[in-house]
Amino acid sequence: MKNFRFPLIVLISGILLFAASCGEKSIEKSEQEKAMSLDSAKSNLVNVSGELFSIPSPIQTAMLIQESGAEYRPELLNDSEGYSEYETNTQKAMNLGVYGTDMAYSSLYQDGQKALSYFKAIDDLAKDLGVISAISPDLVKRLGANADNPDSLVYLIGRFYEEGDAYLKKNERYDIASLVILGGWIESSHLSAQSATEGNLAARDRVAQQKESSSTIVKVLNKTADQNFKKSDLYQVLDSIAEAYANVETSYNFERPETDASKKLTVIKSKTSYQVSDSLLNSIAGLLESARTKITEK
Amino acid sequence: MKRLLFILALAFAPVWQLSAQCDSTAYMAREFMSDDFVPDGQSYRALLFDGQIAEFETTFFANSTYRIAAFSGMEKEQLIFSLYDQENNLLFSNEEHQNSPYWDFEIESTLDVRLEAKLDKTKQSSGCAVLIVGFEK
Repeated sequence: MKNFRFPLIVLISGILLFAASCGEKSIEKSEQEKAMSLDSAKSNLVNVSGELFSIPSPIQTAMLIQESGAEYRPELLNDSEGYSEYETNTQKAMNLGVYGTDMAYSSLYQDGQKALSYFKAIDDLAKDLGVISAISPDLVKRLGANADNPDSLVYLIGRFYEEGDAYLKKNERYDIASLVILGGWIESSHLSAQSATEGNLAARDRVAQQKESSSTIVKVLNKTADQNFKKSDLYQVLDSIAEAYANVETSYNFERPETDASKKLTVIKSKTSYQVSDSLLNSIAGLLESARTKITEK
Repeated sequence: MKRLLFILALAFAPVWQLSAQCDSTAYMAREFMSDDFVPDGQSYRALLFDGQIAEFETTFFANSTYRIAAFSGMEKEQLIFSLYDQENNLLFSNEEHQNSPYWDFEIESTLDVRLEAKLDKTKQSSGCAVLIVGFEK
């Protein structure tokens, strides 16, 4: 037993060091990112869920398009019938994200029948990816039952994707989690870009305001995607989207926020302005359409 | 061999315990996200130990109200979260409001923000931190 102790201690120490270095599946920041975001007070920084990113909700963008008065464009959405032709997990994950946006969009325009058809696609793709088991059956049931009730549906979709994301990250399936988010982001950005090129000013602003997200999505995929994905045409297009977005000009003016503690509310009064030329807008819209085609093609 | 398994189980118990705790913590955090707020569809969780900071960056869109719910462990008011703008100006910290487990942010103009979270060391030395971000319908 004495001879056994040393290797045992080494083994346990090794495992503990490994566990400590992983945190909860944390992914190391690049040296450049560390230099950008760390100061001495933050030397123990860890990443949230192993990822250092957040992409604004595609549902929120779908809501903005509908509220801006843009006409309903069902022909822009992905075909809800052909989802069974997606064979790889990469395709399934990206289109799970696409269909979530499409379900919200069609429901917001009171097209309950189409929204319900997207529910079937979402349900089946989530089953194929093993995500559905982590989502409460009641939530899934309510999602299907509220296809024609946009007020409830947008909330339920948000919960559905949040629970799915939690499950994927808990099981270290960061690649799949990132691809679902990519699909939702591209679909909502594509919808807003199409509306923007037709003169919708609210959509034009929203396209420009995705500048930060365009670079975040590439950084995340660079960390999480497999080598095949990184060699794909889609990855190159995503890179081109981020490069195009770098030409969107921004200026920021800080203004002191106002807090009302009794309402647990802070009003953020700082101002950001975004400048995007027509040619740049068209270029971004074209690249988004290209990425979107690559994601949804069978 | 039994002893080896026993020692390994003891060594890993705290990590497993904290990981399992995350689901319960997320459930409690969700209690502060009313149905008026749509979750952004992403899960932000981290196992934090002394002095560690979890952070992520996002964009808050104009003319929206966001709610951030923050919870750690099994008791409220154990997690400190702070919001910074792109110039590193502190916009808000719940530390100034008894570590309130949620706060709302009315956004007048779109801006990129950074959200940081850390444990209140006077209340907890390690635990699972969960953040939920939602926007008002």
